[in-house]
Amino acid sequence: MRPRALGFALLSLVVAVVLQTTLFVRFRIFTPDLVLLLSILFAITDMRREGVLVMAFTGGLIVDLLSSNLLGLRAAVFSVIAYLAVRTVHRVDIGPVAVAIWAGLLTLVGVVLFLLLGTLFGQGGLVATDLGRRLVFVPLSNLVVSFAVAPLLNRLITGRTRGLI
Amino acid sequence: MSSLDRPDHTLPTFVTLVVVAILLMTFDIRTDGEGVVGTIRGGTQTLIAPLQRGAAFVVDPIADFLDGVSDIASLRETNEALRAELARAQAALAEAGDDLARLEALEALHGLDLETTEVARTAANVIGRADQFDLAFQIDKGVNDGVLEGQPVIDVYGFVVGTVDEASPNTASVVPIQGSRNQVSVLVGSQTGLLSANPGLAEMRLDIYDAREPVREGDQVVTSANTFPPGLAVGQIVADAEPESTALTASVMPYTDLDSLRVVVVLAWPPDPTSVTTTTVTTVPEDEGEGDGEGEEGETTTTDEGTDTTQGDG
Repeated sequence: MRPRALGFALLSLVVAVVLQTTLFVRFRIFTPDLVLLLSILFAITDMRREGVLVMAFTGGLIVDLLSSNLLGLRAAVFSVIAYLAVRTVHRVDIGPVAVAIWAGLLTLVGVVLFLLLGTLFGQGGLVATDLGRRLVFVPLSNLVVSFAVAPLLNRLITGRTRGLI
Repeated sequence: MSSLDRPDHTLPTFVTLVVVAILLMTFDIRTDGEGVVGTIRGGTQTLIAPLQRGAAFVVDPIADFLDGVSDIASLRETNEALRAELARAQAALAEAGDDLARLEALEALHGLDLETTEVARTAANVIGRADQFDLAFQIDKGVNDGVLEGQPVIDVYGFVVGTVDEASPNTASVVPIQGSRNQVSVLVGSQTGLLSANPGLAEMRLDIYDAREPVREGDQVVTSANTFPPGLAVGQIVADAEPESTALTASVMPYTDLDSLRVVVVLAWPPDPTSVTTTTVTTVPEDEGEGDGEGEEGETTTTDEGTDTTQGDG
């Protein structure tokens, strides 16, 4: 991976963390999980698969460090979702709608996994807040946001648009 | 060279990362968020805080404007209700002022000198939270401003919010009582109980183990001591509850609206963090002799701080 691409990937993670922790926490219905979305969408770029996993882990860890949840909880979940993403990305090489639906579905899996792992590790009270809203709005919001973020991310990191033509 | 030309180490990388994450979780649980984990959390918050402050500076006015526009109808109704409440509060205040004047006169008459403790307050802005569903949030004041781990946090109306969970030099993380695993010792009327969070619910659970009388809908719940200064409003009883044997369980709706929190106040409580015991002394006038009942003038009360907030098992 080129240093420039790595720089853009890290920068996009930081921007996602800042936007998620300041802007999107103000909305009740439009509630994307930007860092999780990036963890998924890195898979459609030219980034190495191992790099996608490491970036997902790093993004999850940063959010863990800023939250009251267990350290490593999101890192584990985001790594699993990134792994699913790199293993299934070849199926969505058919257009932006497919990418958006794929990102939304993987987000749903991520939210469910987060709730399950969180409950298993004794974080039930913290992760189960607004359960219904979380299960519905986060995947839908990520689905919508991916229309804008996927091409942008691909251009920044890869320099071209894969699966989005 | 594209990623497809290289040997695929995806699975080993994935397994390694998951194992590392599980080790981190285990380590965090075992250290209870203290030590290295606390230091790393503090360091990350310190790094991200300036960016969050900058983003909040831009985002907050726009988001507030949008909130205001979308809530304009309900704001009018709320305004009406608040005007009525203000009128009632002003009447109550006038009555309380009269009582206070009488109390001062009586204290002067009997030569009482009650010791009062001033609690330092630090106002702080809420600068971010991990996501929309995380109850914990970051504030823009830290150790350098006198904010320390464990200190109570209230909102601008004086309602209990939670406690400081982590404090770095310039920022701190606050966990609201609704998301805390610690129980809060509270008073409902003259009965003492423990308030605990209900996972996933806004309402909290109140347990009174030596209940003598029922609690009624609308009864106010206030802090009793220790983690929080006594007498801070927490919330109100949601529905009537009767004691069963000597135990009573009720639901409490906290007053604080976590979604609308923009500014909070951190209380320097206990006043001396190194001290676990504070003593409140009521001076006995020499000519009045010994008191003979509970709460009698001349009684010396020692309050053991830090014991009635119990660690839950959640």
